[in-house]
Parts: sequence; C-alpha cells; structure tokens
Amino acid sequence: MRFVSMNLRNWRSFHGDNTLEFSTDDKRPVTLILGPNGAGKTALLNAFTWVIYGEFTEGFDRHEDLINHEALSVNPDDITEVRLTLSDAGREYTITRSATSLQQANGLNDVFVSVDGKTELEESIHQLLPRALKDLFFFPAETFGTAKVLKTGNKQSQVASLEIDSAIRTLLAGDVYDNAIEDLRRAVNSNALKNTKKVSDAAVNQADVGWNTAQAELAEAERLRDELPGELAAAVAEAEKATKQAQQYDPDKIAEWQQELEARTNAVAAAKSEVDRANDLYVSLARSAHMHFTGKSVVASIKRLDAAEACGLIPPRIDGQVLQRTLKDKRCLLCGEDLSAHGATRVKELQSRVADSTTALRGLEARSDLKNYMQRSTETLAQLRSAVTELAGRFEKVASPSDHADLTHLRATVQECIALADRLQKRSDTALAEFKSAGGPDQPATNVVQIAVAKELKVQEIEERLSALPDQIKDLQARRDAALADLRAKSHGSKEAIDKTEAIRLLDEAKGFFEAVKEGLTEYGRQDFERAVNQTYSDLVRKPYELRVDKNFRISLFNEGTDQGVAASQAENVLLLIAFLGAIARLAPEYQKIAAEKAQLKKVGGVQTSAGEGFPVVIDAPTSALDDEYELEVVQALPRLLPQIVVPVSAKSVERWEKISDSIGAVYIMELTAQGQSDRTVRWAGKDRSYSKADDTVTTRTKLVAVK
Amino acid sequence: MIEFEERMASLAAALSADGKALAGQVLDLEHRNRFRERSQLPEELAARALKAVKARPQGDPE
Repeated sequence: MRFVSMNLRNWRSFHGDNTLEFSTDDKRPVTLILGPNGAGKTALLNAFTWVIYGEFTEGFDRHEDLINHEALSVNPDDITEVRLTLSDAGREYTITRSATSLQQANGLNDVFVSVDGKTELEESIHQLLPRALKDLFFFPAETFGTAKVLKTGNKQSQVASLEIDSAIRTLLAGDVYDNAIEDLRRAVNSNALKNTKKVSDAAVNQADVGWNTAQAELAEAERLRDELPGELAAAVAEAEKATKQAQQYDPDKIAEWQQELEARTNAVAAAKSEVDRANDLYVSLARSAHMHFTGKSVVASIKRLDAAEACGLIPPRIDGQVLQRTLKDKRCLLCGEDLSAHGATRVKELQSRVADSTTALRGLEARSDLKNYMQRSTETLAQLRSAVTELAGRFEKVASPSDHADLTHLRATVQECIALADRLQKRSDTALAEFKSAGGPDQPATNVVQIAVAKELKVQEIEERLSALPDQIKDLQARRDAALADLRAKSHGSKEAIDKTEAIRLLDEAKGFFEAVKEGLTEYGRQDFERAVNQTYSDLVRKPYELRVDKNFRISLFNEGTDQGVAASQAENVLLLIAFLGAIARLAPEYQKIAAEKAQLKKVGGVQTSAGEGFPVVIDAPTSALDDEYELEVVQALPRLLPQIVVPVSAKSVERWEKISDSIGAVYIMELTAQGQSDRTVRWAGKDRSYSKADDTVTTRTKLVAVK
Repeated sequence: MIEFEERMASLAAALSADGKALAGQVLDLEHRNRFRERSQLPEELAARALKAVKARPQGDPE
C-alpha cells in the first residue's frame, strides 16, 4: 500500500487548497515536509487520522475548530475537506472527509469513499487500514518520548499491550476466532439445547437446575475474562487522566497564591481603614473649628472681666453688715483676727463698693463659664493633637504636629494624611485587582486527588478480579462438567436429554479449540513482532542490543545474548519507537495476506518481514529528541525502514536530511505567514526558499510549496 | 511445519471427529458472516451440534 496524494482544503492553518504528492518510488521512499513551529506539522498528521478514521491523535485539541479562520472570515459557509488517495494491490482508494462550521461544532462530518472510481463503504478503507492501527501508525512528536509501548512495569504498558495485541489480531482477522468463541458460548445456552419437556422426576429437575446454574456461572466468568481487560484499559486511562489532573494542581503554589491574595486583600482593608480614620479625624477637626474662632474672643472676654473686677466694676460679693461689724469690733468677723489700721482702711474702702450681689454673681459666673470653655477647648485640642500625632505617625512622610499646633496646623497635617491614605488605597486596590486578573495556579473545583485515588483503586480492583479469574474458571468448568455428567446420569436413558448433553460437550470442545487458537495467535504474533522489531532496530542502528517483547507486548532492551537489561535513554526510546512503528508497518501487509488466505494457523509465528514490504507511516518530527550523532544515523537509516515514509519536520536539521536527498522522492515546505513571524528562508538543493513570512494582517496561514 | 502450525495440528488431532467437523463448520460460518449480522449463529451452531450427535450410530458416545 502506498499513499499517493493528499489534498487539504482549509484544514486548520492550511488556507485554501494545498496538495501533497507523496513519493511512491521504492528507491526514494521519503516524502519530507519542512515546516516551522506553528505551521501545522501536527495538524498535517491529524489530517491523516481524521480523513481515515474521523479521529485525532492524543493531545490534538480544538476538534470543533478545524476550518481555517481566514477562509471563514471571507466566507462563513466555507468548509474544510481532506482527501487522501492511496493505492493497494493495483487498486486506487480515495477517501474524502469534509465538515461545515455546523458539523465541526457538533463533531460531525461527511465521508465519501471510492475504490477505482466506484463508491464504496467507509469500511473498505478500514479493512485496509484497521482502526486499531491508528494510534500505532500516526505518532505526534510530543508523544515520542513518552510512548506507552516503551513504558515497562506500569499500568500504561497494559494499555499499550492491548493496543498492539488488538492491532495484530485485527490484521490477522482474529475477530473471526473471537466471534467463534462467543457464538459457541451462546450456542450452549441456546433454546435448541434446553430441556423443553416437563419432567416429573425431581432428581432430574434438580440436575437440570444444577447444570444451568453451573453453566451460567461459567459463562459469566468467561465473559468477565474477555471483557475485563477492556475495562481495565479504560480504567487505567481514566486513572491516568485523573492523576494528570491532580498533578496539574500544585498545593504549595495554591497555598502561596492564597496567602498572597489574603495579604493583598488585607492591605486593601487596612488602607481603607486608614482613609476612614483620617477622614473621621478631619470631620472631628471641622467640628472643633469653632474653637479656633472663639478662643481669642473668650480669652479677651476673660481679661476684660478680670480688668473690670480689678477696677471694682464687679462688686465684691459680701454683706455690708459683716464689714460694719468688723469695723466696729476691730476684728474680722469671718476669720476672727484683729483688724489692723491698714486692714480697717481696706475694709472701709470695700464697704464703700459693696453693691448688689446679683450683679457680682453674674459677672463671676460669666468669667467662670468662659474659663471652663477655655479649659474644655484646651483639652479637646490636646486630644485632637494627640490623635493627629498618632495618625501622622502611621505615615512615614508626614511630620508630627508640634506640641502647640493649633487647629489650622492639625487640619493641614490630617489633609496630608488623607492624601497619602487615598494614594495607598488606590495602590492596594490596583495591586489586588492585578493579582486577581493575573490568575493564580489552577485550582480544582472538586477534590481531584480523591478522584485520582478512587480511579486507581478501581484499577486495582479490576486487576485483582482479573488475576483471580483463571482459577475461578477452572473450578467453574469442573463444576459445570460434573453438573453435565450428573444430568446425563439422571436422564435415565432419555435419548433427547443425552443428545443435548452430548451436543453441549461438542460445542464446548470446539470452543476450547478456538480459545487455544486465540491464545496461539497472540503468542505467535508476539514472536513475529519480536522478530520484526529486532530486524527494524538493526536496520536503524548498529548496536549490540537485543529487543525482547514480553507476553504483554512490552519492549525491553537487553545486551545481545544476555539477560542483562539496558536502561534506554530518551534517544534510545525514540529509536525503539521508530523500530516498533517499522515492525508493525512491515508486519501489516504480511498479516493481511495471511488473513486473506485464511492461513493464520499455518503461517503465524513464522513470518519474516523485510524493508521492501510495509505499510506507509507518518512520523512527525522523529528525530527532534535525538542528539546530532543519533540524528544523522537515524536519518540515514529511515529510508531503509519502509517503502514509504512521510516525515513532517522542522528545518533545524535540514542539512542532515539533505545528506539523504537521493532517498527523498518529494520535498515540501510548509510556508508560514503570520503575525510576529520573522522573514526566514530555508536552503534546499542550493537554493534559498521562503520558510516563514511576517504579515500583521494575517493570523496564521500555511501554504504547501513543492521544492522537489 | 512451524511451531504454531504443529501445535494447532496436534490440537486438531486431539479433537473428536464430530468436534473437528464442527470446528471446521464454525470457522467457515464465521468467515462467511464476518461482516454480517450474526445473531442467529448460536442457534445455528447448536442445531448443527445436535444434528451431529443424533447422526451418531446408536450406542456410539464418541
């Protein structure tokens, strides 16, 4: 089988119609596609999986966004369409898949298949390229370093083993044997073999019930044995996904972010509190402003009252008779002391000024009130001064008021504080808003760790059930056989009953044979695969290593002829993976031939593969993880791997690819035009070719340009 | 003869004559119905098995 051509219309970054004519020349098996990052190398890989299977590779997102954006902006009714033409055994197959905007939004598409110009079902393509091969033949570059097939001793490898086993069995038409086992199992329980006659003998009835029960239990156990591996694979995939989700969340980062958020929120609250405090103080100052205006008047009034008293304008508050008696007795009536001549003179003067006591009282009360007012004002001012001093102390840049600062000075200080507090609040508001808008680490909506643990427990539970099943099935088979023998023995020579038990034995015998076939296809398919993978590996690199494929189809590296395992580096893993791809691709046509000849039981286990035969593969950036030495070795070996290889790759190592230009039948450049790109060229065959262009009017546009 | 073929041949040889015949019929039916509706196949296989048993000479349990 060979890929002949592919036409991409408005596929992701590929604008308009772009055509690839693949090299179909066995001597020049490589079709090289050079493209810068972002040009759509992985999109090209997914054009293959989408057109053939309507599916995508792992990690390829935005499935609802397939149509080129520029095309849609010009014509909202535009569609995307991928057409692949391939040839096999002299027949030409064309598969065309397209999607409108509405279809892509709903994950739908239209597909059209023709073989030699005649319309055929999609199935005809899948018979050629079974769905089980999708994840084995179309590898995105980013999965090269983490390919499941190379992981040993973990759950992923079990999924990988299922994929390879499934691919091998699909290629060998293994479903025929699976179906045979399933149909024979059902046949045992069919109506034709049920006891239809009413039996009056209780012992026969009991034996019949015993047989049916034993058979049902065995059938259930066998069903579980067949279905649990699939459930396990799904559970492993779910557990992996849940673990990945849980790992996305870094509890330390989340805690750090939450602390910072709390600190910034507190800073906003503190700033607001300072503003409120400053504003309140300003209001208090305003309320006390009257003191500023009345203080001087009050002081002046007190002075006037003092002067008035000194001038005798305020009569003394004393009774005239007291003074008269004091003068008469020459002794002070109040204190009892003798009155001197000078004292007598003073008392006589005082006697002449004694007046109305009410007038005296009013004058003294007014002065006392004014003095009290002054006292209160002084105290209030001291309190305000203290509050302002305290407030000013909270701002580094504000000087504290002096001990004698009046209201005017205090107000000026508070205004300064308010201005600073306002600024501080704005700054903390902005800091909080920016922090929030920057977004913190991803935080789970639910407890993803618990979910991951639950999924892992589910995997363990299925594994335990699976491992217990073989022994259970043996026991159930023995019980079922005993129940069948019991039924037969109690049938008292009833020919019909005996015939039915014999028919059941016969069906079971055939089922056992097909189960052995199924097991053998897996085991001998594994041997073919191991042989093929060693051959492709030795075609790639000369290393004294031997690849072993265990019963779960896990590939491990050993020193040749020993049991000494080799820890594969990332580069070696890439080589192993390429060898693995090559092995499956080489086995595929051989196995399909065997299936077509129905020669599975004669030929599986003895298949020899060669570089001359094999399905084409698309390997996205196969050497990106390799160092220079390995890269050159692999680049030089790739043409020897398969009769047709499509390699999308960046131009970073174009010089190495030019070294094998004799083996390259077609070269394309994915010319990228986009905003923010720099104008770059790539040199091929002595000529500079446009590789990327800057154009601020274009989001992303890729054009395929044939250069060879 | 390769190992798998040998193993399959020995397994086939160990089958009873009726079992071998039935396995052959099953394989043929499954190939013919591979891409078709197969819901009737279990009844069909049961009927064939019963027929094979009934066709045995009297007293021959195989």
